[in-house]
Amino acid sequence: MKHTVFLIACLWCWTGEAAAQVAVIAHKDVRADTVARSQLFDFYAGDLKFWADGTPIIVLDLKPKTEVKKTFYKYLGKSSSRMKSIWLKRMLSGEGDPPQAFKSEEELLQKVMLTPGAVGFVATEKVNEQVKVLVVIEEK
Amino acid sequence: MKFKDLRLGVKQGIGFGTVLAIMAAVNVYSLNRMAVLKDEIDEVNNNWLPRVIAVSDINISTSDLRANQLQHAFATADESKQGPANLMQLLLDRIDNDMVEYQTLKGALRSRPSYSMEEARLYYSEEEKRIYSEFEHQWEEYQDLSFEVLRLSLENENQGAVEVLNGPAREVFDNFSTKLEELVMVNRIGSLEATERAEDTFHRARSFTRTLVFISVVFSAVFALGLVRFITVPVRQLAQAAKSVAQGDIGVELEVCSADEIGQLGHSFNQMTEGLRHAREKTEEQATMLRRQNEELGAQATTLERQNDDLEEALQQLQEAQQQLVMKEKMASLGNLVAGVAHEINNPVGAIHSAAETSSRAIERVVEAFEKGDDIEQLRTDRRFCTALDVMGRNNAITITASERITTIVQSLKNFARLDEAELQQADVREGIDSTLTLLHHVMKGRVEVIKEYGEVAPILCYPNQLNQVFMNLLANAAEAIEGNGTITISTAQVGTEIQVKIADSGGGIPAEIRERIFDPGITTKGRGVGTGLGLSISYNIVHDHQGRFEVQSKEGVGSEFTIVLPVEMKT
Repeated sequence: MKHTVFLIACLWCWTGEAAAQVAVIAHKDVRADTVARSQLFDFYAGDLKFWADGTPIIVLDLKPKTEVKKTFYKYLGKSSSRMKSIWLKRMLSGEGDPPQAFKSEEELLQKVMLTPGAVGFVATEKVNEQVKVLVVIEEK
Repeated sequence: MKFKDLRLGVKQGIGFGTVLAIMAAVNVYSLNRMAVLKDEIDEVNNNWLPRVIAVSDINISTSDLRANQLQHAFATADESKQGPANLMQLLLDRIDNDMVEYQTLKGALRSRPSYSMEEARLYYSEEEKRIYSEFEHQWEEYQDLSFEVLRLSLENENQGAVEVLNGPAREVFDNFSTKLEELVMVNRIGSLEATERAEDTFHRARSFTRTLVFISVVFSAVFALGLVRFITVPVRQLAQAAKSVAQGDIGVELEVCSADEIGQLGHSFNQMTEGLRHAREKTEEQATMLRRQNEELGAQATTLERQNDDLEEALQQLQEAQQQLVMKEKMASLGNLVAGVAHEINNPVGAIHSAAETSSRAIERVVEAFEKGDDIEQLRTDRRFCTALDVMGRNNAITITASERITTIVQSLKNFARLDEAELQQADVREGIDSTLTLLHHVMKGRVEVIKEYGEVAPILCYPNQLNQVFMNLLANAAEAIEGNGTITISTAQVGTEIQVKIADSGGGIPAEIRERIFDPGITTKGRGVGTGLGLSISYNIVHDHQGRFEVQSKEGVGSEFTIVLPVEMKT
């Protein structure tokens, strides 16, 4: 009983107060309708650089550690600090720069709308028709 | 039900059970504490120490990273940037691994089932959690700065890179470095606390175990004492009491203070002693009574002895008297006999005497005649002479007859007395009876008719003179019983090996009041001073000596019948 209570409490702490629905979005010209989680990770880790039509994949990041960002990184399976380490290592080996990070979801959305081949994430309620939703991350 | 009233087995069961329960509790508790202790030690070894090591490694790796960043920034040639770049990649990996390690240990701690939330907080405190999240945050900040530094450095904007490194990056680095040191510190304190807790657990467990052991020892002692109190002491008391009783002190009363087997035993013992006391009281009462009776008896014995002496004296006197009486009877019998015999002899003697006188006168006449000198012829015609001769002849015949009669009497007397035959011998009872009748002739003559109905009887082995005395007695009695004229019928018969002599008279019979006692000495019908009363008594003894018996039938006014039954062969 004690342990059950403990686990529930932990789970509650883990999820945070607000359950956020996060949409993984892409530029509307991106041909793919959806992506697998492993693909998404490969995009962000820099292992997959191009879409199938040759358009370079440009991943975008959110600067402030909001619930949306946490939810997204949890979906990726790595913490933001680990992703940053990966990016640092890529820079050191000359494989590329870390993704551009924005101060707000609006700026990020704007960038996705304007950049072909761009991939990012925003809260679902912020999604408009000029971006393509690849995945909806349901966080409970 | 109180405890003391329980059965011994139940008492022992409760006692041993309690001791067992305490020992079991001690063991279970000790095992449990040992498990907890082991968990705590395991926690320190498997979780805490690795966590502290991980944090320390992160601290070292971040320092190295910063050093390499500086080196990278200062390096001007691409080749000289390569070394630090490779190292930085390694260090970043190491930092990542350590952080993952730390998170894993933290997670393992959280999912550990044997801890309560409170215990888990002890091992992963809120403070540590806060410091670690602050560190994570600052580390990310540093990473962000590192991007900038690296970019500048890679673009050979060394000046800018170094400025960032020594400016905001240094500040952030110092901050999270401090955080890491704080983490180490917190964990060290925690580790110490854990050690203390472990020691505390150990001490507590030890003291608790000691207490329990002490309690169980005390309880065992109390229980043992209780056993002694409940079993040994009463049993000893009982044994002591039994010994006392065995030594004769039955006033012992046990105090029964429980209802168990011992108590029951004590109760039974008390009942026993009470029974003994009761029995002894009774015995003493009886002893007193016996003593009293004994005293009385002693007095009576004295009296009896005196009486016995008197009786013996009397008996002696009686025996003397009896002997005198027997003698007297004998003398009387003899007297009677002599009188009878004298009478019997007197007649023929008288006859002889008168015959002799007559003969004397006749002889004088004959002598006278002869002196006259008459001739024979003249004498033959002399009437007086002839009468004298005739008288002489007749007298002579009378004398012969009388003397023959006397001879017969003397012979009978001899027969009767059989003085020459005092020995045991074969004899015909009929001869004895005839002799006796001859001697009693004068009593019966002309008055009593004697009818003899002799049957054939074999001679029997006897003392004839004694039997004659019996016949004399019976016949004399019969003759005496007849007043005036009467008959005496004497019959003999043999029945098997016995002969019977029956003497019946037509006398007055024996008076009913003495009929039962006719053989007792001193019983007589002849009046005081006439008979001794011993006749039948002596006769009885004689017949008894001959192993024979008397049968008497008597009817007053009709007569009496005495039957003597004697064996032909006396058994010797």
